[in-house]
Amino acid sequence: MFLTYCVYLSLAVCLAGVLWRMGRWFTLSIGPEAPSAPPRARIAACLHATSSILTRPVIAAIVKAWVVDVLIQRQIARKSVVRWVMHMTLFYGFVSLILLHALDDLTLARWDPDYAATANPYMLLRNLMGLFVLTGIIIALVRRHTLVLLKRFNTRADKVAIALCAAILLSGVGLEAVQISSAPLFDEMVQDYFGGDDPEEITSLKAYWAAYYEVVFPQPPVINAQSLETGQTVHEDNCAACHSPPTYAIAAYPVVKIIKPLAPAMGRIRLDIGLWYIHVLASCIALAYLPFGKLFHLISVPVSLAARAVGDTRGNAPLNRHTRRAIGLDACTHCGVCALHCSVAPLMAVIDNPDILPSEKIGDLSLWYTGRLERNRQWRLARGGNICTACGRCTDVCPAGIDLQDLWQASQTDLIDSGYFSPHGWIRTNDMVAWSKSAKTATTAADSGMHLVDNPDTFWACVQCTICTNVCPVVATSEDPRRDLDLTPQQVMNLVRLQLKDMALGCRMVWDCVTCYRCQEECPQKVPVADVLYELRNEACRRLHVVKGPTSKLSPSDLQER
Amino acid sequence: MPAMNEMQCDLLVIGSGMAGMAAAMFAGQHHIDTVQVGITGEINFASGLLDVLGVHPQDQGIPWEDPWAGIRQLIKDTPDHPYARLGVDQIQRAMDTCIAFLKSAGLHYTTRHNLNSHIITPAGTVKTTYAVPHSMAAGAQALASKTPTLLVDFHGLKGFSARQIIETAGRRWPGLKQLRLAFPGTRGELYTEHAARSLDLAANRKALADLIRPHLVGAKAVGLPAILGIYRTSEGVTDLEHQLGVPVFEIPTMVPAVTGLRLREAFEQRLPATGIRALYQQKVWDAMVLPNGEFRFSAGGLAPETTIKARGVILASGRFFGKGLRADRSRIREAIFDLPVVQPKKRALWHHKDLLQPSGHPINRAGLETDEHFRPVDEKGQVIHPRLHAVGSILAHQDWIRQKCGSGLSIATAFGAVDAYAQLSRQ
Amino acid sequence: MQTQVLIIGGGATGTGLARDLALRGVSCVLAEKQDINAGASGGNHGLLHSGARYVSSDPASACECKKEGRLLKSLAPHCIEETGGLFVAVEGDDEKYIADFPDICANAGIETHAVDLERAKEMEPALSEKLIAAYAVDDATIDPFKLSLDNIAHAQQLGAILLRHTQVTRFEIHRHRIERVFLRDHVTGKETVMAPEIIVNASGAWAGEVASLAGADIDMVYSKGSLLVTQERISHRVINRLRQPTNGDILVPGGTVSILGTTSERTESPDAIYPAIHEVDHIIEQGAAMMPVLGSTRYIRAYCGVRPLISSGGLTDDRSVSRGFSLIDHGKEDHAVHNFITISGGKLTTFRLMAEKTADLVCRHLNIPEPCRTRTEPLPNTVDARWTEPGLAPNQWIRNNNPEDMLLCECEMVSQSVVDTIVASLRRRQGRPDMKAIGLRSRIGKGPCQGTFCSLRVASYLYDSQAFSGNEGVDQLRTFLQERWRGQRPLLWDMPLVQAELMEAMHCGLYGLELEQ
Repeated sequence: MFLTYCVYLSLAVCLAGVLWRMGRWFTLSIGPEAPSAPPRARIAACLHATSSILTRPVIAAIVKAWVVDVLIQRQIARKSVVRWVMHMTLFYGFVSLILLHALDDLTLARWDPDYAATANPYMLLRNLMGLFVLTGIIIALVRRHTLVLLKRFNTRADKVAIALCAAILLSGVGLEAVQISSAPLFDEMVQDYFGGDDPEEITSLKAYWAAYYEVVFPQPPVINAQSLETGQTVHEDNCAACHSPPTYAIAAYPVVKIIKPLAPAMGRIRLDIGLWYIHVLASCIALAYLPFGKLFHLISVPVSLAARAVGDTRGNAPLNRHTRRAIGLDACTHCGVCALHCSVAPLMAVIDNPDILPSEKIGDLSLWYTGRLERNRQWRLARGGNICTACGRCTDVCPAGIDLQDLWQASQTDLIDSGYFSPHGWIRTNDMVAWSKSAKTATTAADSGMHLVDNPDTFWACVQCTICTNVCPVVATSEDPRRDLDLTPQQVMNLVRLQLKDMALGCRMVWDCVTCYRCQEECPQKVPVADVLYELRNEACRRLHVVKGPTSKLSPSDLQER
Repeated sequence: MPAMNEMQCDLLVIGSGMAGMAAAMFAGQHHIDTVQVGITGEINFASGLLDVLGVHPQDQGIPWEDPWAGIRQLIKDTPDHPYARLGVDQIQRAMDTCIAFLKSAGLHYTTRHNLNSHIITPAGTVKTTYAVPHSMAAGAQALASKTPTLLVDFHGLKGFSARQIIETAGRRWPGLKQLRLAFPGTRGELYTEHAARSLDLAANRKALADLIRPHLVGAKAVGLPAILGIYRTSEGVTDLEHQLGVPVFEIPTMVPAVTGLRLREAFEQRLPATGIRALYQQKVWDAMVLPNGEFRFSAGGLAPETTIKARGVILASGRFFGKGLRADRSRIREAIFDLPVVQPKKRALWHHKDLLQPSGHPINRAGLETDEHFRPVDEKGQVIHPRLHAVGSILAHQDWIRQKCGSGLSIATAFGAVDAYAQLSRQ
Repeated sequence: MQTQVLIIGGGATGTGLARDLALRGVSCVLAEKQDINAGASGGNHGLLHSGARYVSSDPASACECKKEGRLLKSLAPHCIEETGGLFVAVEGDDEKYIADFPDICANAGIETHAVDLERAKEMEPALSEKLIAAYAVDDATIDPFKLSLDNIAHAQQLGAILLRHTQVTRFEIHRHRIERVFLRDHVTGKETVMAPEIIVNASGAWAGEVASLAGADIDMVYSKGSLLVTQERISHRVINRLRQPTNGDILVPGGTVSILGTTSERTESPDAIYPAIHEVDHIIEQGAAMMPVLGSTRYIRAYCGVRPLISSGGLTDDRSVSRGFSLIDHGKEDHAVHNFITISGGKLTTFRLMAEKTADLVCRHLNIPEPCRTRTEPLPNTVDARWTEPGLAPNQWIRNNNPEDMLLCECEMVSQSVVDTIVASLRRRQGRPDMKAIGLRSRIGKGPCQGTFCSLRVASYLYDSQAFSGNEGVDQLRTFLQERWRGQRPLLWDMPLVQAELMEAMHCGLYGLELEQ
């Protein structure tokens, strides 16, 4: 009775949770378009889009996406066979167990009048699925603890998800093993299902089951040819229809062999009942937890993939883009594929900011949008988020079909709008002259790196040959350098040499330098042109912060490179 | 500090200017195991013209039509000039070899039957030189025969005015016409390297030809600033000539010019194929002679990175701009080995009061004194090290700027020094 | 050409006089054989003396300096930076002179404040550790080019005429009057004749030569002083060595650089003077005793001027010659020339007073009762003079943000439009644009490249804008580079020697300018 309540309760929690999380898809506002639209409008827009999709051929693409990316997981298969095996064993193992084992009353029992959980093929099948899941869990654990990037960023959600799966599976396997060897259970079964009450028959049956079915009796029955022969007859008449030999319980059987010496003790404390509770309760907890952890991806990923099949986020109606992005946040399984393919991931070696990696960035964004990101991690997100080459690989490889690139752009706008540091964004809001005015007043005590800019010796060797500009790829690709860059590299150097540094800080050449270092390499006099540009940019960064003052949520000390 | 790389070689060439490049080239042809180290400085500033001898005696400013006759006279008049260690035949062989090498690297040069040519400069003056890049050859021809020519200049290319050339050279070369164009696809300032890279592409050359064609009327040749490509200049010139139907030529521009870049690229791309191990953009940080007479150097970019052991050295580190020589308020020093430098007695004697004094500044003749194998010698005339040679502009008793003999001096002395090194090694 | 007054010499006094007379409504022509401030007016520190330097040798001058300095600060503030100054002594300096200094200054009415040594080091961190005394004085710096260009520009606005490159070759004297003056334009070779009522000889160091044309005899002493420009500004204030004035004892900040000087050397003639190499070395050694960094800092340019001193005979030290000025009315001399006046001597600080006294005398001759107005009327900040200011050209260029306005001088960031303005202004005043004149009126060629790159860029641009024609560009380049060379030559070691080698390689190696005699 208690467990029944638990099941219903967890089902209720699960349903409520799912509704709550789906509700968030329509309340979170992510991106610059149409801010503060009411959820009702969002839902309407979403329904409108959905209904229009249903009547268009694009539905075929969605179905195809589901088949290919959800059922077959082709994308994962292409990237990594091991991951594919992990995913498929976990997914199909669990799905089969849920359908054919947890819900067997509604499924198998109806289809097969002779259904018995302990009879083949069901027992074999269940154990096989159990082994599948076990394989998946082991692969997941090994991956999480061997791949360098993943190892660094195991989150609690990842651990909880794996722990729950493991708890359900291990308790299930253990339960079956204990049940097989349990003498009290044998007695109960005899009482419930055995027609006669001939003690000799029962003794023979005991002997038979002890010999072939691994039951461990407190007083071991006499096992001889005669008792076995009689026992077999009794068994075939009463038990065989529902009980296949335990060797077919390929997952539990090895466990039985191991626990056999302890079986009498287990029988005495009725461990089978205890494990039954654990197994069911763990399943209930998993069910209730489903909407709140990463297991929610079971729901969100298919939705996300369907949306992806329709097209890029930018192709959606503005209102739906918010929804789409919110779904994207929920669809992340933290699988880490994006991080493994990220163009700027190697920067992690020098900049210790996990939010450089898409897999971590999306997690923190999710927390930030729902108001749960700690203050000290907010600036980490704002800075890490800026380190992106917009190569788009993360979007391409995401198995959940999240349009990550769009999410980065949208969230950067949101971060800037709410006051997070964006020197590149700010610098374009004014021209050089305007910046020079404010830069003059904005002084910072912070260190300016190599101290090249304020040292006249830096420029002493310059013979004014302009080779730095001649070789600059940024200047070369500009149709009109004066218009696009304000100044060329040698002009920046001269401006600084003429002690007009304040003016140079806002110059776009300083901000558009790609630090290829050709200027410095080719300089016949080895003037550190690129280093000067870099130092100017750093100083401008700090001053900009002072200029932007109260609107910025960062303190100048946050801006020091860590 | 990171561990130093180690290199071992027979010959180390120090310097990557014209002399260093030439020395590496000759060493490669002698199959000498050679490492070359040097920061690409001066060669980026080359005009692309290969001078051998233009003026002698310089205080009379006498130009020579036949540079070889000029050299004979020069050797007679100034027997301590580096050319005097070689003689005309060797110098000529050195030049021919170098020109052939550059041709194999895709950079074609032409000479006027072993005579000097004359080239118009952006100041409108005429420069006497020996071998001219194929892309400038038609210009020498046009100047010599006063061909009516359309001179094209570009909006935003500073220091190059067709009108200046026409006004200045008008008497010498009538029939010049000016055409000012906006360079296709750009606005504002134009930088030579960017323009040249753009004209390596056929589509951009076509766009340029289309702009020039309507203004050709009557012109029998077209002159442009030297921006016709970096890697495919000859092809580009031929293509433009084909499109315009008249000879097309380049006029040198202010430095840093792509003419220097072409030379540098030709050497840098071709030398490794001849077995030279090159450490460009690195300089020699320190040098020492080991007890066994071999040299040990450390070289690197921003800090010493590589230890190089070498049996012999060719010092082609240039003068002040090349950092081979250094001057403080009282004297001139050689930068790597502190070799004795022949120099005027005191700073007051280094330069004339008049910048353009025809006889040239005495400091320009300061430098290293060598024996006949280009080995630096001390005040007593003793060779400082049996396998240390010096070549190029660092040598004393020459004024390459005023004598117009820069490339010839570099190439010929490199030829002589490598030859001497190879012969002495065999003995 | 009709005019009441002919002024000979376009230095601070001549241009100041032109403005003074023009303000009184007197028509005048200023003939300058070279260009503005070609002599001592351009070859000095740009120091607006508090007077303290002359207190012991010349108290009267010291007092004049003080008064004129105050006046200029209020009338021409755009030419002046009120830096303040320090007099400092180091170990080994004459202790008696140090001890007497405050009292002598007080007697001359010049304010000084003793400065605690630690405080002095804070104010000027570059000062020597061996500092033993420091006094604050009221020194300031002045841009002499801006000053003279503003003076002449204002005079021109009021109707005065400036003839550059125009030398007086001969006076025609009848009955003790100069009837006609013969002038020659050096550029065109054209001769002009003029019959002014009064001729003022304001030719500074050349006063003796000009006077001799009129048969007058002025005994001039030619004392050359050389100065060095550092690559960076070393001090905030003017730093004077607290001792009897001698070599290398003043460091004057000027915008982004500092100027160290000077020397005092007799020369035979005021023409063709060069800063000598031994002077340079001497100044550096002397300066380094006061501020050690001066021994190691980098110098970008040297220049010199000849002090216009009028000798009273038998002197050994030219610094003891009066620094006051002499106003000579040649009508009162033995071989009287009644309409000929010479003004000479003096200092930059007192130029206005010299002009005023001269103009007063001229007006007495002409019976014009107009009073002097330069004592009250501020000096206008004219467009003609503004481009000499460091940093102004880049500032304007960036502000104007005109993509078609390209930089011709990269070092000092001077663009085509500045050259256009100067050319237009030279033409408006009947002048012909030349590169040296453009260099004088702007920062072109004054940066580290010293003309290596900007020379050809400017020449090409002047051809393109039709300002040059024929083959004059070659001569223009030669002259411009030679002018730069004068200041480079004594400083050619270390990096400047590298730069000079590159310059020679370009201009001789490729363009062959040395062959175009």
